[in-house]
Amino acid sequence: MVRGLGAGATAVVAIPGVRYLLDPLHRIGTKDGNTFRRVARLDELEPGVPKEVVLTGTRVDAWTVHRDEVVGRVWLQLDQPADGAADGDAAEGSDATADDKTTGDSKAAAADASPQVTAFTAVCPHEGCIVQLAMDHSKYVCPCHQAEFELSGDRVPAAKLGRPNASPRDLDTLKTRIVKDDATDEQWVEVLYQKFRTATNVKQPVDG
Amino acid sequence: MQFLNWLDDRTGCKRIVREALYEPIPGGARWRYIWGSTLVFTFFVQMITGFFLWTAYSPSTLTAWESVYYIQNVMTGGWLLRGIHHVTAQMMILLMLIHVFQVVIDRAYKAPREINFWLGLVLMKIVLALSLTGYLLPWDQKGYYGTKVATEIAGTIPLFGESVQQLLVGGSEYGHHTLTRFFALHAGLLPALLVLFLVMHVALFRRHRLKAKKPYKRPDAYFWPDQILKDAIACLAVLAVILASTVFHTSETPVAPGEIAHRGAELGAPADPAVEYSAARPEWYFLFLFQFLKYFNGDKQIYGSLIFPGIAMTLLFLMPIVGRWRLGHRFNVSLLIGLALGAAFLTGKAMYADNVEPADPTSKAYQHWRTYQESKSYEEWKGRRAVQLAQAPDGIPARGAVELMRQDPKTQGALVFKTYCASCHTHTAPNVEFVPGHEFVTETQIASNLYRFGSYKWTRSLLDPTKIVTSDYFGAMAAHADGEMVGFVTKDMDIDDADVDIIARALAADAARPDDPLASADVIEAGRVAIVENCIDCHKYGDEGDLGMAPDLTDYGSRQWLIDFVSNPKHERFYQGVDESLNPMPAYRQDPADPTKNTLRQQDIELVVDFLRGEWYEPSPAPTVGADSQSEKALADNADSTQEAAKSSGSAQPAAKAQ
Repeated sequence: MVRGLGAGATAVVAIPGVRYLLDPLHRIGTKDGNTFRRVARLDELEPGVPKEVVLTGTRVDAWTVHRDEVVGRVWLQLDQPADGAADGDAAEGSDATADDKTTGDSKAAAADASPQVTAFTAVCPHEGCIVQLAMDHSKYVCPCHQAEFELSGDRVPAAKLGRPNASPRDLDTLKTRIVKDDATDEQWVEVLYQKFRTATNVKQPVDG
Repeated sequence: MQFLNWLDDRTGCKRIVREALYEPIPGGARWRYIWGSTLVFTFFVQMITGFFLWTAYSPSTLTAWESVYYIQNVMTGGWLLRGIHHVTAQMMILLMLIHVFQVVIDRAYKAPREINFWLGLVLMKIVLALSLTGYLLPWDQKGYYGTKVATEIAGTIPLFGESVQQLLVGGSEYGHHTLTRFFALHAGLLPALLVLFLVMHVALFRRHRLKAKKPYKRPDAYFWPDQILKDAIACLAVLAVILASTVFHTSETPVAPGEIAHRGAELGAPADPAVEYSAARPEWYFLFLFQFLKYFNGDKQIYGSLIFPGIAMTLLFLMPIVGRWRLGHRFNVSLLIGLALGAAFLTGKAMYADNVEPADPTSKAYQHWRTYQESKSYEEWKGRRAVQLAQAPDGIPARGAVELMRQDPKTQGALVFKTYCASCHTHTAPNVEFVPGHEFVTETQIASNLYRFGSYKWTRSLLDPTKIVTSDYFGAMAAHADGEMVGFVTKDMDIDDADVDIIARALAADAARPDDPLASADVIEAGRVAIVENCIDCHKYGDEGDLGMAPDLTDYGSRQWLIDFVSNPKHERFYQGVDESLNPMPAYRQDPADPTKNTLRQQDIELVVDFLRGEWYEPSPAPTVGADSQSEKALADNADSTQEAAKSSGSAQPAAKAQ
């Protein structure tokens, strides 16, 4: 009886308290993601020359809504059509191109070796620092633990690096598509921005 | 005395005091026993200074930096209090290290003191957690990005790492709840746990008595007064060191006139999740862990972040058990020395890589060093700039200090330039010392050098046949290099130098750069007449001439002209009809009505234009020199040798440019 009362009294404080502390676990997955954002005109890109673009959007921090804020940085690369650029990640990008709204245009473009754009998020898969282009523009380098990536986004192997590569995986690619603006006839690159868990061997989106 | 007896009757206080003070110390008081007391002392200093700081600190992303700025720069004695809290935190780490060494070397971890040793290790963890949580609270770039790496590591814990990380961070991203949680830990739970464990630690210490070092050199003594004297002297010495390092610690980098050197603890620029930060480092006592991570391939990261540090910690916990074996004590001592040397080595490596310039400028080590140093000096500058803006008449807006930085052309305008302009344009000059992040040089330069664009000197050089063909002006871009302007200036221009001078003077007057001294009204008027005489065959100038052939010279280089130009250089006022391949500059805001077509927002364009024009808030306490009193000589050598920072504060500058 007395023990029961004691346990009850504890529960009155403990249950709401613990649930309150665990609140962040239930508060995930409400972002304005899943929309392609227009980031650059296709003709601004040159084959083999990565271009950094900055994405703006809305960031919600508990009760504060930050509108029109930089939410991410992305490296864009125009893949040389001659090389085919047919690795898995680029194919993922082109899938997105094909099955989205740009039906007629993209098919027509696809016929004459359509340009493909690969996009990497600049967030290092190791601990989430922002990778930068090396001074000689030959690689991406993370300023925190010196992880290095080829321009293709692949990790530079430890053997080639002469030391371990801190990143657990290649740079994370983002889905891209190329959209033709009917009004101006300009081709635009659009990117679906996502965040991924860091320090895991497999790429997993945050916010499911 | 009577009162004491009365009190003692009711509380037994005399016995408590007696027991506390008359603890026997075999072999007498010694200096080597002071370390525990100094640790307790520093903890009290932290409790007291921490409480005071608490009374003015406000944990939210819109107020944390702001309240710390206020403590640091406005409140009486704030910088000293915060400095003491900051330095004492580091002092505690050092003292803890000495204490652990002394306990292990003196065999004070062995039976029956095992449990007290473990309590001590728990206390050590609590102190480290206090340091980690405290690092974030000012919400400056350094603390924000440094702590972010630490919580990412928490995410690598197998199975529930992600949940642990989310609970620590209070969501999937850093924000208000990261601060409220860290603050609740830092000022609530962790100090409470520390007190609890400290009470147990000291109680057990008294129970087992001091583990005296043999051989005894003197007769036994009591804690009071012999040892307490030594402890008090040691604590005062520690306090003196803390005070000295607080008071004499000022900014490492030289500070330009008008900038504020930080005193005591550093406060970086307000944390901005939107601005990359390449110098993310933990506090120096965690640097060895940071460095350790570099030795593991990404997929083996957990060994560096959790498994090996975990093994080391487990070995420390096992010391009392290992110590039972014959060689156990030796093993323990060598283990501790080994760990300490390892940590010292890694710390040294990390510091060396960041701070010592490698000889070979093509090496990766050099690049790493340069990235870190540039980022660090930039962030230090930005931290001072943030304080400068916060102290401006307009103060900090309700949307926080980050907003202040984002509306500052000197900070944000340069970032816009870096992202959108610097791959084609340069912004540089010989013999000018730029503020960090203001000089842009690129190998891929295909457009002009925009340093002081629109100034007399810039325009005069453009009209100089020897200079227009250089890459600083029209030489870098094919469209210009083969264009009519270059042809005109190098071949056909039949204007004497004096007239070219006054044309440039008039154009500079139209541009009205705040840092460019005006010529006299007569000169400007004559220059305008000369423009109409010589330039309107191609250019429009005011009511004269027509658009379509060459850029409009009306208000050339002025704020509005530049905004219009950057928004759409292909407009009929500028380079309409020039082939795309010859003039690749994109229209950054072609159609204000349709945001999807615009790469830049209106405010970004204004920021970059104000950056180019040097129009930004500067505190200018120095009496400004009026344009009229500027001698012709000063006009002639056009401020080129003046330092950029000094320049703006010396000119007649509207002091309320921070919108």
